[in-house]
Amino acid sequence: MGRLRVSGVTKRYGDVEVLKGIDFEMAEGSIVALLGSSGSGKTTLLRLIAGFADPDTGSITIGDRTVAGNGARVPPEKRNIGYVPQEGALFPHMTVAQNICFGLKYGRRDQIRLNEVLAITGLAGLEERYPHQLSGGQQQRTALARALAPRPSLILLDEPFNALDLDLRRAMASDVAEALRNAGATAILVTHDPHEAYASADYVAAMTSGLIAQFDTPAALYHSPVNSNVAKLTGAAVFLDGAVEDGRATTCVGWVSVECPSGPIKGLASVMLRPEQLVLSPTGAGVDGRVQRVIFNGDHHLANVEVDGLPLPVRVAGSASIHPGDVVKVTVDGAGIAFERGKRAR
Amino acid sequence: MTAIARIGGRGSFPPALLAVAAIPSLLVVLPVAYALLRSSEAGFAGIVSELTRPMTIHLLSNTMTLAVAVTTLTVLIGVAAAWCTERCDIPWPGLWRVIVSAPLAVPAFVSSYAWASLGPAYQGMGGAVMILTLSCTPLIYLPVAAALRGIDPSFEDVARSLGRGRWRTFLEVVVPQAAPAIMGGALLVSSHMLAEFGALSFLQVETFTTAIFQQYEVQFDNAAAALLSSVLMAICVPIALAEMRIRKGRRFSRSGKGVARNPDLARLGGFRWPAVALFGLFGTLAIGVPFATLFYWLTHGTSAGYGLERVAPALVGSISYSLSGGLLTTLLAVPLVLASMRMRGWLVSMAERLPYAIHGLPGLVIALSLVYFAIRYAPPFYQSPALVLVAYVMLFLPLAQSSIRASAELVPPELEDVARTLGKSPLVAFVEVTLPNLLPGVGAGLALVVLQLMRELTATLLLAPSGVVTLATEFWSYTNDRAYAAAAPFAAALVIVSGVPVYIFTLRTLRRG
Repeated sequence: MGRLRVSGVTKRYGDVEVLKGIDFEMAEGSIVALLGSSGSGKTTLLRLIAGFADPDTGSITIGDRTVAGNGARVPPEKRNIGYVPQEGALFPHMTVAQNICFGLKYGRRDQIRLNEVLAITGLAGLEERYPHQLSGGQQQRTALARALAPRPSLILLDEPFNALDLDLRRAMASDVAEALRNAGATAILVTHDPHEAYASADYVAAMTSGLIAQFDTPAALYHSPVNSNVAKLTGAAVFLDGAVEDGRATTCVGWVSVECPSGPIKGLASVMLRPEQLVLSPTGAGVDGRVQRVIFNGDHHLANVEVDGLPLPVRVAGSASIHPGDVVKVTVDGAGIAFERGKRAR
Repeated sequence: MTAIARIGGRGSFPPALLAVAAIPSLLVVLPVAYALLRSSEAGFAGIVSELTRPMTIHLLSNTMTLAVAVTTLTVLIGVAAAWCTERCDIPWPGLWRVIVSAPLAVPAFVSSYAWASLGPAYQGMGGAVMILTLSCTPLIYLPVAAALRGIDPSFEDVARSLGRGRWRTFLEVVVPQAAPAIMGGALLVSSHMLAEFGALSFLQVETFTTAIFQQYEVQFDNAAAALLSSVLMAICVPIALAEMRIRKGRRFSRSGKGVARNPDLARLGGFRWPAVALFGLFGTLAIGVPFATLFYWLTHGTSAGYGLERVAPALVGSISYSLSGGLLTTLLAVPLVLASMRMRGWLVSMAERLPYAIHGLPGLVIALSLVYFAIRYAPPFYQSPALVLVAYVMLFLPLAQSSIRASAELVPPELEDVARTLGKSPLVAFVEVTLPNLLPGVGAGLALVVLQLMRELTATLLLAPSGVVTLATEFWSYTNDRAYAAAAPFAAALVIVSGVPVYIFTLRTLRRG
């Protein structure tokens, strides 16, 4: 199993510069999620790595072999990669076993390898079924098994859970990650859902408008996003205006200690907090707030609390008793992230 | 992002297939080139004098009268019948569905033959309008009935809950949703009327097609025929283009997944039995009379048994020509459909759509253009089977295209992408993955084209090498000589080998679609 290096890759379709210079590297046996909203270029990048299209500039290396750029142009069938597209794309005229064995040498039915991947993907017993006789989740697992069977050096998954119900998606994301780890595979997963990325990947590459804005572990990406776009891409976020001095910001919820990922900031800034960092209490320290609206979400309430004329979304434990009109105290747990105000996304 | 990725991302298409895809587009240019070239040889003065002749005006008025009258009548009858069988409490709706679509089984020139043989009272414009209306009604009825079945009744529930009465709901909610089906059917009927030749010549109605054929018989490379063809094309092409647009945009909307419940049926009340009587009358006129007449001529008449020994060779001729025509048409349609689905750009989409425009042209014009080019530029092809097959391809390519396209849409390009990442070359990926999934559509397309070619008359009549006979050409020549009894076995054979299978096929396709 190899590793992947992408350096300086750009791609343009007509007037649109879809990729503006992508650099990243991944280690053997790791799983990387390409996280981005639609239009960020994540699927294009995946298709370049697979070999369905060629980069305009830059190079792609799988293992020791340059497959694109620097004069190389290896077609997809010679790259030794596995590919799991959206909706699975199982061959409808073949059984599960035939689908899985399609990529084996001479398309031969290798019972030992077949049983191995059936076990890894939890499909044992279904090998003689046709795709239309499988549930959505089983279809996705078959597509994964088919990609794993020839022992590719790299597996590419293009939003593979899109067609599934929300409940099934999250469960499948961690199932698939487990199957990939059991197989010792190196894999890239394209997704627009941060939870799917966190559930499956060792590292997440956050893509915004054709660039990798941040390449980090899920926790680092969530807690220390490098800019406000990444902050929004990686989960719910609250932005407050604040004056920054000596690592502290004065905001409508009082003093907040801040980190400044883009270099020291002095003066007016935008301070990012995750909703769970805002804490409500009936009395005690903190600034005054008035509860405007409460949405019950089972394990938690989502309360809109007005502080200083500004509505803030706050999470409160589901067991708490909270009602519109309540006057509460708001405090901040942990540090916020300060971004320069100009860079604040609308 | 997906959209952008696809512009360049799906460009993998074997160049050899691309070359094959280009052939039909080249053929399509021929009729237009013929009309322009041959007409221009007549000179400007010649063109003006030919076009302003009283005869031309007479033909134009006859052709338009026929087209407008038949289209209007088929729309009225077809929509009313569809509404009765799908949305009203008429007794035995299943029976009426079969009866109203049954004229599909009888080619228009066979039913015209039957009526014409009853006497001159049914010949002329009035008879032609009645007979062609009866035989074209299924072209409106079937798509409209399918549309009415496909409309989600929840739209009507919403309209009713917003205070619209039953009648206004039908006019404001149901009819607009069925409108594309009605319009598409109406355009199809119009273009059939402009192209119809056999039926009109039996019924003694002079239109552009019959006049062009007369000119061709006088002199087969004829400027007057070319000029009349140009005028006819100028009427046909806009109709064909409009039909293409409607066909593309046609979709039945359903607000959610799952099975729609059955709509509530309107009460016909006192009109129930009159409606049943009207359906019965339609069935009698549209299929009862033709079949009874055909049966009569099979057993009576002075010329009975006259052409019997030629039925077998004609059947062989029909089958061999339509089978080879069907195979060639299907072979050319596959790359065309795949190219248009895998590649983007105006060139490819033009290549796929052009055949539809040509499909709307009369077989007569296509045949004349092939005669013109063969005589001038490729004499060995004139009077050769190859030329007949070329005409067949031009006439029926869209039929094969639609059928293959339906299958091809179920084979996403991702299947080949996956096969390639699993180590298959582009060609192997195509053969092992795409082709097996395309076969049902290819087979259906082939069958449909072969069945339609069995009843093709005009192109075969003009282009087939002398000595070659088919069911349609033999039937035509006996009927033209008023040898009605001699023509009867050929008519019966046409109904059996082409009419009935087409009918069954169409009903099955519509039921699935």
